Amino acid sequence: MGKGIDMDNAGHKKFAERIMGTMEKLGPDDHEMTIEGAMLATTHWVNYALHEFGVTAADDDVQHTYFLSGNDCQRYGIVAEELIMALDEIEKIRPMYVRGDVAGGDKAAARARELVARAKELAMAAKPLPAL
Amino acid sequence: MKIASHFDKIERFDALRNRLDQFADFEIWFWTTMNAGTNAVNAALHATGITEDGPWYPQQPGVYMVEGAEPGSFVADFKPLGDVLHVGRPKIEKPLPEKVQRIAQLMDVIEEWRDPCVRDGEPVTQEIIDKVDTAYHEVVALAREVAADGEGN
Repeated sequence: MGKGIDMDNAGHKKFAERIMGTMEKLGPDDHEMTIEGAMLATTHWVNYALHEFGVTAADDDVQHTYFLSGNDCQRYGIVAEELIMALDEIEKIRPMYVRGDVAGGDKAAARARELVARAKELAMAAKPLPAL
Repeated sequence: MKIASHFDKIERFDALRNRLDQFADFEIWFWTTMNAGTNAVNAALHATGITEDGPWYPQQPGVYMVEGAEPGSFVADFKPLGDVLHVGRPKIEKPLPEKVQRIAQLMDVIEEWRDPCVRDGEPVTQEIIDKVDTAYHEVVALAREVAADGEGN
């Protein structure tokens, strides 16, 4: 979770798009930061979507999926399951390919790029839920 | 991870951070700096014998990803203290040599700006960039000294 500074959805969108812009400058030797950029941008897209749906408040940001409780996963999964799963998949490749030196970092980075692109699509389609 | 692999990452991260614009690309410039610094921390901890350098990769404090039974697969497992995620994650109980303590203090200077500027939208200033950059260069220089000291022993 953040430290209490309320980032509104314009902020999440701006940060996510700027990070994705920087990712365009990264090459095959930069697989670690491609994955990290995807993680950071996807986190902003997750928060954008959850705020847009009205499921979380502006000062209640998701940070890493492994910090979420079972209750959080259930609530967020109702409206944003694919988004949460995309972030979780990126998180799960970080130990081997960002922190570690396991072969195949280029393929992992390519997958991270797919996931963040999909996360953006999903987030931009989010609309306020009428029942909330 | 082996010390040589940590320094290989530092070299590539260093090349990347020099290609990026410190303001326009701040988030990834900062994250690259922090990751390079963490590799320097781990190299120094291995060189001083405080942590192990085996092929297990940190997922959370105390839990590492290790090769599974299927080729190319990885599973979570408990392993001896290897690479740390950040300074303080996990907390190291063994006494740290003076240079490693200094590296940890400098990483705290860098990480102070992680959530405020990357996640929470605090405006980035030249002063912040200079503090991070200065701390980073000292971290890497000290880690190289510690690694060289370790080779000489």
